[in-house]
Amino acid sequence: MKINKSVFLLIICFTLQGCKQGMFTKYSAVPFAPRDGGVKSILSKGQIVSIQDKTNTVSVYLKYGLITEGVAGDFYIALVNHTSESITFNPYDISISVSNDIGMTQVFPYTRREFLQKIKTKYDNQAALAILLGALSAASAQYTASTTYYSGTVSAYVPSNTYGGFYYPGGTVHGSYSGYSYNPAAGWAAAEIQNLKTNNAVANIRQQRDNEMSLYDNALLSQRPIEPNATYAGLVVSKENLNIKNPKELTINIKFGGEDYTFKYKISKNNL
Amino acid sequence: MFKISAILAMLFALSGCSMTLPVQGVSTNDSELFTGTATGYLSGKGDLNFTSNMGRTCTGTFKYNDNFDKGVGGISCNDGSQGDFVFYSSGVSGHGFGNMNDGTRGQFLFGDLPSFSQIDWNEANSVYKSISYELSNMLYYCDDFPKTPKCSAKAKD
Repeated sequence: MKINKSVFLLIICFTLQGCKQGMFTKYSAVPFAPRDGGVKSILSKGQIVSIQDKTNTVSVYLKYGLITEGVAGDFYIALVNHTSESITFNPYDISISVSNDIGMTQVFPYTRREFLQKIKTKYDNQAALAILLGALSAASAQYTASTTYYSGTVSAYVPSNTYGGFYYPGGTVHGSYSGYSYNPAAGWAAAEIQNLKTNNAVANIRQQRDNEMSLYDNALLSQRPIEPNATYAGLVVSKENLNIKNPKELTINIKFGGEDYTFKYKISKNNL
Repeated sequence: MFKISAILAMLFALSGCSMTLPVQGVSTNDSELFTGTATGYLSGKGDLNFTSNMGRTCTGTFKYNDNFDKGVGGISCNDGSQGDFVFYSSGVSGHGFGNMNDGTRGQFLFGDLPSFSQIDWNEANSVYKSISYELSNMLYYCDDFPKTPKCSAKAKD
């Protein structure tokens, strides 16, 4: 199959996009020792969870205890309303900052709509690439299946004769033949099979997209009232910020019920 | 000759084979947390190192039992403290409990173990004692870490 230069570059570009995140350094983040009190940490469900009790309770854990240079991290946050009033939680009440030797950088969390759109775009790009590659494969399959190369040799005895005043002695002559034949039905069938494969691949990608969007739609924290004695928990995904180089400290501040709940993490190079 | 070389090469390759997993844990010392790595080798031995959020840096060794489902080890920290620990393992993850000679106790997990949540300290101590008793013949590290509670007790016997 021949792939032209622009398609080749497109594939390289998509491949690099996929690797982009893997190229960044990973750091481990450990909650600071609670010198000012108020924050305790426990091991829960395989993670170090930090808990802060004030009027209400807020707990946080950083997914895998890791942050990635340029990406910050994903946080699971649980909020418990201990008051007798309903408290409205808004994801904009969460602020994340990362400090390094240069200074402090604010990292903003994705809103639910933004993050779902990001997932949709990622999978739609994959589907577009699958369609493009599928079309190229179908064209190639059609050509291969419909075009047959044939060749062979022939031998024949030719009797002696006179032609145009010249005498030709009789004898066996040998020759060869070759060429291409075209079978449109075979080509069409091969292209259809390839198109079917592409359609299946695209359907799988779209299914994955829908599953992931559904998963995050349920997991991402969004604005909502939290009733007395109720708990609301979910995921916060921070936006990429390329200013985060050599991070040293990560701070998550959550405003809940009029109080600030602050969690600090010490960042160090991950040895794994 | 070729056979012997092949077997030797294989043995070298196998003995060099190791697996490094993340370790994270908590202690009774006012929410002291520690994170680090543990590396296990096919020989059934391993080493670990971790740092705590209070500045303690520790290194140690461990050894699996014959079934590779439990093990014991000893550690030494930069503040002079030493400790014993025991652990359960599934091969790629596990959890364990430790006792330091400064009275601190710890619980930790290694690898990806979403099923593990910290247990009550009294229960943790019971499990620690139970595994320690079961593996009492594996107290191999007392030359390196003589000040651990178990090695100190053994020295008095």
